[in-house]
Amino acid sequence: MSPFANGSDSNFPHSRRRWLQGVGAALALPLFESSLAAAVSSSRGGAGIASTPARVVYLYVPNGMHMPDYRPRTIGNDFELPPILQQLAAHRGDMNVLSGLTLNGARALGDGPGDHARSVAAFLTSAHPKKSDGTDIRNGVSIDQVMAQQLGDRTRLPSLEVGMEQSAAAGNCDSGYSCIYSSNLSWRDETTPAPKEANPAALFDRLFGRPASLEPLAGPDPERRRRSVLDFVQEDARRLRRELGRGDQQRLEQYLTSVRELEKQMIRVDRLEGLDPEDPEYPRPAGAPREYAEHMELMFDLMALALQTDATRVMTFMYANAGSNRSYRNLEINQGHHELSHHGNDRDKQAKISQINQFHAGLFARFLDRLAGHEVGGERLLDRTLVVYGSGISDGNAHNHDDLPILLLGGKGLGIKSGQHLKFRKETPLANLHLSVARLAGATLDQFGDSTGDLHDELLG
Amino acid sequence: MGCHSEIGLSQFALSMCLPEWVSAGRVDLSRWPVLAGRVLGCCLVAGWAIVGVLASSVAAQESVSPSPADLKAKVTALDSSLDQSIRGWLEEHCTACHSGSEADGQLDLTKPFRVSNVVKSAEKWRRLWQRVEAGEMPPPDHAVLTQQEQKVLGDWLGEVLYEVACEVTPPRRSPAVRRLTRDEYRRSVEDLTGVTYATAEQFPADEVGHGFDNLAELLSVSPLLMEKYLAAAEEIAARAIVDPATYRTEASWNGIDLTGGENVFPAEQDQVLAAGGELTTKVTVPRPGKYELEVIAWGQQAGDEACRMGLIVNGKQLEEFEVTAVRRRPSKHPLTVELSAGEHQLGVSFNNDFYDPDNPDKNQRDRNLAIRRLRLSGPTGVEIPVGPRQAELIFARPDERTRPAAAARQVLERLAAEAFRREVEQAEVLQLVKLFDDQQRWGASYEAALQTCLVAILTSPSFLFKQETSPPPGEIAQLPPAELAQAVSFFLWSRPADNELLAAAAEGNLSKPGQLAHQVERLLNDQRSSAWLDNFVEQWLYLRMLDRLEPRLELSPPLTPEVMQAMRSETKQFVAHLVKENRPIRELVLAEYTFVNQTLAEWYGLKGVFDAKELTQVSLSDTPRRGLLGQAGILLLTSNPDRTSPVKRGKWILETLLNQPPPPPAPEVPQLDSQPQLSGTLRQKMEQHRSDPNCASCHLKMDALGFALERYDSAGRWREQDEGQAIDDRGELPGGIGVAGATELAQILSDQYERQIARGFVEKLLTFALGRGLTLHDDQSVVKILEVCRPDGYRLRDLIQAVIASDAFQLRSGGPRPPGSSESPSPSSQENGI
Repeated sequence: MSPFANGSDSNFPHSRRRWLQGVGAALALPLFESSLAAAVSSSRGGAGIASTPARVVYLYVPNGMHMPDYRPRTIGNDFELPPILQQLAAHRGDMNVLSGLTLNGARALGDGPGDHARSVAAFLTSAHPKKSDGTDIRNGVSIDQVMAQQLGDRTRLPSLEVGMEQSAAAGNCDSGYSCIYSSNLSWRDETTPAPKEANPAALFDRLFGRPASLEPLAGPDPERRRRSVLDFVQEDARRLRRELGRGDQQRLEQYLTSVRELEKQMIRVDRLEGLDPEDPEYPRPAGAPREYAEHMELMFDLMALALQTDATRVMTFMYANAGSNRSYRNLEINQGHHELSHHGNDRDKQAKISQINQFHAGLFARFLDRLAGHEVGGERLLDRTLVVYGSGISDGNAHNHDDLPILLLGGKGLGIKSGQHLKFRKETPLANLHLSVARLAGATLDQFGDSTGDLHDELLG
Repeated sequence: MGCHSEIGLSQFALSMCLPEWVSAGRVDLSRWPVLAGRVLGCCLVAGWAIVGVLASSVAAQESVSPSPADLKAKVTALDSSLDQSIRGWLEEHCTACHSGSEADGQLDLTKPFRVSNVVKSAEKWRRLWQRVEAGEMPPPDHAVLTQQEQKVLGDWLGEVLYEVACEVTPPRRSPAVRRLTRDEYRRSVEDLTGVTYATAEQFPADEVGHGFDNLAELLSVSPLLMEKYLAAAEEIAARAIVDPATYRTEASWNGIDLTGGENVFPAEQDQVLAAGGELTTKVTVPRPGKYELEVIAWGQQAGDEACRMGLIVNGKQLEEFEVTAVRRRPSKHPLTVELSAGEHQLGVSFNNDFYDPDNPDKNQRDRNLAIRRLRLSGPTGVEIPVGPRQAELIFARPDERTRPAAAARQVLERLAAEAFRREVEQAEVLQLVKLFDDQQRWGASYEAALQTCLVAILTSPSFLFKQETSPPPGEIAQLPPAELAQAVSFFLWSRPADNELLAAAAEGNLSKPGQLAHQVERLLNDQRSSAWLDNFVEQWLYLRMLDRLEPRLELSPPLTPEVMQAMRSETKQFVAHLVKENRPIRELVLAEYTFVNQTLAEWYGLKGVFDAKELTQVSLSDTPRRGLLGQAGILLLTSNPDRTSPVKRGKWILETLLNQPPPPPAPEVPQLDSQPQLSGTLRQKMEQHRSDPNCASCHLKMDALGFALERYDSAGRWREQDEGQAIDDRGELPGGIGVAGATELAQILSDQYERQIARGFVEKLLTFALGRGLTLHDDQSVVKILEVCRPDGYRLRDLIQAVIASDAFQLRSGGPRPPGSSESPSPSSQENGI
């Protein structure tokens, strides 16, 4: 793996034992078919008994795409790859292009503008977020969190939320929508997002424990000590909750839920420990690299490692917050992305958007390389992973939310028939895809958001 | 807040010696604008208890609480005006845009409605009223209401909102708990322990709403954050309370504790080596250095020499001693050894065994070596560090008279009170002591056990959440003094109240005239008020957006992160100056000075030599730049990466300076792919946008504001041309006010919009201070604050003082009475909002 110019810490003594001093941070294990249960519950696809559990990764790109350079002209198996998909040519055999899916929750539905915030907020929730600048925020639970809640206790981290930037820090994010909507793909419930990790050093620490040079806490038995701390704080929270009115109790409930999650994590660590953890052989990053591409590659490396070491099986990733207006100077594009996406049919702007889309897709291909290159239980990790890549906006100028650019990669080992360009009937909800993914991953779900059924027929053949 | 008394403001005004206000203390509607009179004269909290309000001799407002019968009469009167004239106007002039399911602003005026419906959706109508009052609605190019009609509509709305809705809809419940932001966490930890922990790097960002990241509703807790809190607390505790045991080793073994081979036998606690050989033990030391090893030994002497004993470390004999002592008086044999960190083996050997069984003297037959005790301590000469505030925190240690738990209890009582920012109950202290005891039982030292208690304290909700006492439902009450102190301190310093402020609160001084103002002055003058610049000012003026900008190295001089940082500092120093000198609010836009270093001076084309880093004040009188709108940071963040954006600049002025965000674009923004391409200069392209009536109503105002700044390029530098074309920076603001260029814009904003700028500032201050969006009930306080400060030109320091003295800041609401209570004079509950 590549070391980084701005000083990665290859000088740290990587004593494995020392790493275990982070919070609940035993390295989770590589997969052993016999020791982990999770059978795939789909009656059609899936290898059935005691096989490698499924993983799910969602990646979001902002501001839509230049659809003519994305959408193949023919459907079926023999389609030509337009320029954006060319970047993924090496993974063509693992790729399904899904056209025609619709995200109704992102439409205005009488709320006026704010499409970008809505697109992100609705993408994984299929809900219509309540328009608000900061009072009475309401969205829906996201599909990745549904999976995390049902299946997440089999790994140390039920889910992992990653991004290239933290939540927006200033200003008015999108026409009357608080920045909370435009910054978060994953929502634990209607009012609580799951914040992203954007700092690669912090992400590394969370996955693999802190380096030995940090002061260890004195005294015996850190695990027992942590447990007594958590007992204490829960007691404090219960006492405080008794004194509060209903509206405020909810805040303490959230706190207690989070503490319980932490306790469960620690129990999982105990249960999983005893087997020799794998050394990731990866230097701890010192921080976020300045270069966007370098930063993203680093995050993708860590995400791939998280999957390889089975630290988690559910991940989401945002290329940027909604409506991102960053310029891509490495591509010699000086204008802001969002501004370009309102192209007004200007050819030059459209060409630039396409370039940005290709750039994003190219980086995505490297992530897929990692998953394809790692073996697990006799298969490629990619075969057991469902990767969804796309946006909640189709054309950035028209701001339409039907016929979204959505790619599904991987999952062959789960029964997915890949290599197709599928076109769904008009207004087929994106939630139908979410339902399929969740079911293939082993979750039990009658419906989700505005789903009308799942896509198993088309995806599994 | 619903209560009209504004006692605090009255006292503040007195203490600031504003004679005009004192003499104008009586409501005099002919002097004040009608709207102020309306809002002031009403809004009594019908039937609600007001706790802790002092009588004031100055505030001589109407003190009538409308009875339910009065209210009913009022509603009837308003309904009849609605039927007679208002409804007609609305239907005739407004329903073109405001009708149907896609109505602009979700306001469908074709649906039948009465006053009661308006009351139900009071917040929506409040914004409409603000627009009508500002002359923005109906949009000027649809200007179809006469001046008179607009006034009557505005008055009617005002009455419905402030004389009915305000009474009938209780203020929302103030949140009683609010999580610390990551910046507040960092500062609180620094105050408590002296440790600096970089939360900005480790914790996820706090979500932003209404422009600020400290809103109670958006500050949530997630498992990710909980992990971070625990990890942070452990690191902070380890640095705040250093356990000497992790630096020193003191170990000792009795002879019988040592491990020997054959031919050893015990003698009470000693161990005897009968035939050579070695006794060993293992020890782990955490730190490298010089250690003192000591053996206490004696011998059964025989033969013609004394016992010889070797001291062995890790298999190597370092020294041999002669042991002449006998059992009654064993001798001590010290040795200084150098040890590395880690595990070592220590050994004692018997080097000269002697056995002469044939000796006639029994006592001369056998020589044996006996070991009584082995000791190790060190490292010597090493300075054991202590945490930055360790001596103050751990002011009690166990000794002969004090048991550890008793000492710990004293320490924990004080620590918890300081950390939790309130008095702690005995039950809480006992729980902490129990935690301490458990740790000690499991082998932790005094300091280590207290470390664990500190981890618990820093992770518990009493630390992580700010708490305020909530009045019972249906009531409004004054914040208790200790909580008021915390509210003021977090507002101005983003950290807990210091001892002086707490003492003032405890002595009841914060409710005495002038005392609170005095404390506020102290806080503003203190260096810690830089937090107000970092948190309030940065978010108010959107300066944090500068974090997102890419450097532009192709410019000359290049736009590097350091330059952007300097621009940020310039604006903050500018505002700091205005507050420090209590300058009037118009100087925000009209100031003929700013603060620059060498690079910024070049940026602005100023002559002179400046420090490379430090910013100093410089005059701008010879330039067109004025105030905030001439500052590069602002101009930069309101541009696109490669060109200016008049719309963004206009929007910034409306949002940040005037707190009147432009109405959202019409829902059906037409598919632009069906329109011909836009061409020409930027201005010409934008004119084409404005030719569409859907877009024009907003863009008229925004664009005129933004175009006036067109001579500042996208990096805030002055230019005469835009890509070879001449720049046209003229425009027309609503009301036919022409504006040409940046300097004129500054003058106009200052002359015509002074009150709106002051209002915007006050509303933002209150949002930040309260951690919530403002509602109908807060308008009362806002208007009062403006009235108090108006005669003197809305000076910034006065405004801050007035905000803190206001009801909105000092009172808290318990929310609506639960349903089923008898008093609510509300309209029929079947009515819906519109």
